[in-house]
Amino acid sequence: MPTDSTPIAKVSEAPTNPGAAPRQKRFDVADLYRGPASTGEAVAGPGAIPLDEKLRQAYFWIVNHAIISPHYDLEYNTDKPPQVFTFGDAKAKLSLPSGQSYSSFVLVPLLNFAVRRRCLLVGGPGRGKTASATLMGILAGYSVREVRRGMQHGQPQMTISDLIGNPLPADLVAAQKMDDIRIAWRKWLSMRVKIIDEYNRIPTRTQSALLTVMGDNYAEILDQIYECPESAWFLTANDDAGGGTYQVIEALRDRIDVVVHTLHFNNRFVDELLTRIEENLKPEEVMPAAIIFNEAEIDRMGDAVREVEFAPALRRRLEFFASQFEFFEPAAEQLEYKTKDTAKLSGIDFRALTALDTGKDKVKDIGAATKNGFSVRALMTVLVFAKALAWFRGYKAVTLDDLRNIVPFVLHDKLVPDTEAPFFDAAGNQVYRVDRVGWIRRLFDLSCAEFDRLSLDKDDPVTALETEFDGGLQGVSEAEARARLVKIERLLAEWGKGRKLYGPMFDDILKLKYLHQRYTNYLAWLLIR
Amino acid sequence: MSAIFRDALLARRERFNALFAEARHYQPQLDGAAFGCVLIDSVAPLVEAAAAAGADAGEVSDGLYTVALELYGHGMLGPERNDPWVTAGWTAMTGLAGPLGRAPRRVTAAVSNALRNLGQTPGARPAEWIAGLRACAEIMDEPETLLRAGQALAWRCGMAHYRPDALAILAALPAELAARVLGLPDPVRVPEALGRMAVDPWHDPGQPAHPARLTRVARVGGFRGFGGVFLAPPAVTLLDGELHARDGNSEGGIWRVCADAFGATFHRTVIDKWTEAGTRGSPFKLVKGRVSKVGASEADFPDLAVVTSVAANATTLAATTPLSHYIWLVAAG
Repeated sequence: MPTDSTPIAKVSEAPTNPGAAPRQKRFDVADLYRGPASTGEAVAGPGAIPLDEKLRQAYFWIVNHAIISPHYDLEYNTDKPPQVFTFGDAKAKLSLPSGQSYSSFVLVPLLNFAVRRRCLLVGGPGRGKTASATLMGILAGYSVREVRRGMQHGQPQMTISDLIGNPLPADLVAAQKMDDIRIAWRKWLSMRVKIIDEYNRIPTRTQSALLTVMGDNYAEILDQIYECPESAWFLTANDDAGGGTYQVIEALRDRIDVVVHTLHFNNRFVDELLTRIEENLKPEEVMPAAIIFNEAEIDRMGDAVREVEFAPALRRRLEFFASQFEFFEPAAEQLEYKTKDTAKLSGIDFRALTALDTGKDKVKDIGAATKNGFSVRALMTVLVFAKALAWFRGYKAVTLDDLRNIVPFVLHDKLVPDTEAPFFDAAGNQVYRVDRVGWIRRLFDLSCAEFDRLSLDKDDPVTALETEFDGGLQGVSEAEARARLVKIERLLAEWGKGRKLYGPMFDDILKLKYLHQRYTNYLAWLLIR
Repeated sequence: MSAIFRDALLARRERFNALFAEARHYQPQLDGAAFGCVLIDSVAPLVEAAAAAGADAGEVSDGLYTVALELYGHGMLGPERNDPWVTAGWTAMTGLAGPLGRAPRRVTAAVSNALRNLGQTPGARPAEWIAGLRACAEIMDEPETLLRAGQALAWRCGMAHYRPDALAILAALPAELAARVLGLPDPVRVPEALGRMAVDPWHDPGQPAHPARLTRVARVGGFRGFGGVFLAPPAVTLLDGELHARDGNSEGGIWRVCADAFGATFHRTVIDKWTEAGTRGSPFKLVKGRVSKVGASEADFPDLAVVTSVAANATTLAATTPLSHYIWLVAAG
């Protein structure tokens, strides 16, 4: 673990997350110039430290020197179990993790920086949201001044011109056609880190322009287009629940990939604040050059993250978890439409519909605790951020802990709780009406427990059929195709014998229908060939 | 303190104070007065030298202040605690004014780290290195090229493990600069010297040529109690073509040994299995103190009459004896 006793310009020494040491080191003449003094330049080429190591060094520099966030809420354990202590009448738990653990408030924005997505930092005023976003801009190689000038501050009078740019007045008068009108685009559009401070204070119309930039990566005025570079976005909001000056349009909220809460300031660290005041310390002014990423490195980070393996067994757990939420039996007659999305589109009161959903244990059915399901975008974001977290930790494959730790931050604003659902009335669950991160993590744990109870790791008939199908249809004989169709029909018939219908089975049934269709079509093709 | 340096400090006073305050926040023992001495004794002369060479005194001060603060924090520069080689290096860097003015932080940090590494490598010669670098700076003020020359120079100053990289660097350097590194008066001789050094680790182009004969080219290792490497008389072998040494019996530590005409370095390592190498597959033979090599005359080495282990590759025979902590290296030198 890096220590606090290093001077601010010094980054934590590699390896920050030590594994087994290489046995035979290749000698590298570049080592001659490595040592206690930092050259202030990122080393390029074969002698450069790996990018995941550099990102960890950036993380430790930020938590040790810049953002006072002495929290380790993203917990990891080694083979040794954590030590758990309980406090107070309510038995509040504290666990001391046995592995290297992290502060979500610093790590999640850092991962967002690495994969260039959109991160919302929420929390009360003066808790470090803007400071954290500013540091991300400096990490991308911008000066403090550039980051501050490029930061867009949401305010009720903000116009589209304020946000994106304006046509040159002379061209407006002299232009014979639209193409002749030159636009003075705002400089922030060209930055690789984009910061929107208090985005929920931006007027609705301007939010729509922001949506285009955020979602489609271009800006448009008077038919003129500005293509933005791929960027990491950081938005801040004091109140994520829509309490800003303007209601945030849903499409814009949906574009946000991860949401991270500011954690409280531990008052045992007031001395740090005092020193900063007395000695006029400004960490953002003195970020070590060794942890600053250039454009090519940021590109390479994205590539490296994509290469991290997401094993099929883990993918199944994620599928099982995700499939819990969309199914909503009272929403339609035809199975495909029995979804919460159908219910939402109907405009009918959700509570009135949930009253029709009877016969199931609504405490055990975690799908009954939400008003919606996963979007494809949310699922893709889970995959990307889980890979990013594993990569950050120096792993080549995503672990279950990575998935468990990242899911709450991705689904924070995507999974809407039905706080009147019986789940929240169950003993010990009331707190989840308030604690969104804890609630989602609890849902994930319950889903994994159910997955284990059903032994789906070992015995999953749909996976077996999928594997068979993934082998390809080429060369499958008519008899074989018919046999597979029979297998699917038998399985459906067996499932139809009275088991209650829950989300995962809903997806499985539809998958079986898909496979049945593919075989049916194949069989038809075989017969007319 | 000169007006140039004083003005440079004043111009960035707030930043410099913030940097020191930040550093002291995490290292409360840092003393402002002592760091002031570092600025006056070590930083000011370099800033003045670089400014005289046409550099921006403010930029140079900024870079040097940062490095000096780091080194002071690590106890490598300062009136009370310091690394003598690093301290000497900061004095000597007035001879690098040109490259230092172009990349103040890069050059001072790299030179400081290099001197630290050379100073901590037994047998390496940091004083020779910094003198050599100054000689190179007389004809090269482009920082990166000079630092590459410094890497090759480190090999010549005892960092034997850098040999392959250094040869590659020398081949890519301007001939005049490579000649300076190799101690050759005439750059025309560089290609021939590199060609010979590539095949013969015991060839030193800076030394006068003489007929090749088998000789003890080096005696490396030694007793740890006297500053050497081994606790017990060692044994040698070849693993993947590289010379390795073991401390005493099979329980001892293992080192990879890099040795050539310019020095020898030992590097702790872990291996799967120790196997005796002997002289098989090599042009050498050792029988009762008499060493022979295909294509060279025989020579007697009475100290090697009784040996505990022998290993040889195409150019070098290594042998150990029962009563010595040294490894004998014999080659046609």
